Amino acid sequence: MAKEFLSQKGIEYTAYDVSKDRDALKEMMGISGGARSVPVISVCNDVMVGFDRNRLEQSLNCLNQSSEI
Amino acid sequence: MEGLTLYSMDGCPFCIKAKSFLKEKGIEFSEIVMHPWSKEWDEMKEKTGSDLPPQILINNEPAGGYSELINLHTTGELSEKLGLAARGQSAPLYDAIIIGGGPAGLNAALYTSRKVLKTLLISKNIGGQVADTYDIDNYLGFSQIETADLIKKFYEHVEKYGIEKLIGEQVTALDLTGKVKQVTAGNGNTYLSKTVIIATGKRPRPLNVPGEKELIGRGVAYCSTCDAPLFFGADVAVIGGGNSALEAVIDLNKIANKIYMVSFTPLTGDQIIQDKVKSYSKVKIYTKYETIRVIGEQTVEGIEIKSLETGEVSSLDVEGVFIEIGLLPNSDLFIDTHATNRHGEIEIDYMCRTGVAGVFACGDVTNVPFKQVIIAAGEGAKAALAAHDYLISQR
Repeated sequence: MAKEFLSQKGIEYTAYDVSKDRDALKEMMGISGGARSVPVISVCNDVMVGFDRNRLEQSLNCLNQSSEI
Repeated sequence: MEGLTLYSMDGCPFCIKAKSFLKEKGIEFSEIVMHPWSKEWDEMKEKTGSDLPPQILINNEPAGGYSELINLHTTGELSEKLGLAARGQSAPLYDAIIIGGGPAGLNAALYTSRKVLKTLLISKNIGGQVADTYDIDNYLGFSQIETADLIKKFYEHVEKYGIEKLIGEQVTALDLTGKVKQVTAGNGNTYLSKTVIIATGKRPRPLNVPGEKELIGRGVAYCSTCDAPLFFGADVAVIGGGNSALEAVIDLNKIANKIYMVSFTPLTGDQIIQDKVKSYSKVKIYTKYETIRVIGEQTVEGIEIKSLETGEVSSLDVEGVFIEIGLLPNSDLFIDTHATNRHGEIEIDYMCRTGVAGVFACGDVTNVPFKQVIIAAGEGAKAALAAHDYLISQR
């Protein structure tokens, strides 16, 4: 659902399948303070555990601010 | 007589309510105050067909009493008829709002949309509990299908008829008693509908022990199919002794290093699954043990269990705890207004009626026995058709 949401918004993202990629799982647990649930979404410096449409939408604002890059 | 005319009588409470409502909304009206059996009284009876004040005429057409006035205002028809600018952003009025996107809700949506009812589906996800299991072997027409594929097929079928939907949102408040139902979602918007179909399903039952809530998603899990792959090579515990607990062990056997199964009762799942689990070398089973605490600061580090026979407390070092002790109906928002049974399931009749006019329920949240995908889907169809019948009866 998170993927569908991001695609709808036309936002490019990198997806890691943590059930297959053990390094990605470790990294995910590291950045999220030990989360063992998916999705974990990292936008700019904001790490969200779970898909919360409104919160994600807010976090995505940081992409617009740096859109010149 | 153009505009709004109100027949009222001194000391009639709903006349006072109607007047203050109109004043509050800034709607002009002419008032005819009557005495019983007066000329005006006869006029009201003649024009409206009713002798119960208050009675309202809009452009000389009878429009009912106080509750009809409120409904007309809610739907925006009042402003329309009076030629007033639409109040604020007048919300659309749906024929049906379906709450829940599992098999019951999706099939209800399919049926309401095929009946050309203006439908809104509100759900936090698509698939409901079906998404928590890997495959389905008993849905007619599919001898074996992965649930992701089945849900996709359901969704595509519904999409074909084009319904409005709000996915990723939960309903936070409801007012279902009036003729026009109000449903408020987590986004803060309130949606209006003539009928509501409740298809909110069930959720995993929590253990309610210290540490559990704090560590959800940090080692505490309720869905082995979803989360087992995240426990590769870890030591884990499965709490419960029924089929879903046994199936969690089977899911984890391919992934985890060591599995402790902790059950309050002797194992109750099907013998064939019990035998399979007992044959696994990495599984240790504790029956008649109570789980009393989940240990861990940031993430799960272990659990504490207590023998029901000796009272002895011991701890198990695990990184994951899968809690598989049954399900609770998602009926919390409805228990004040709807009859529920001792399990908290909404009681419905053979037409999926809840006892509140215009409100229907279907699927696992109801008292209909045997929680199966095909039963939930069938009930969803019934609820939609019953809602359709209700709408016809209201015309």
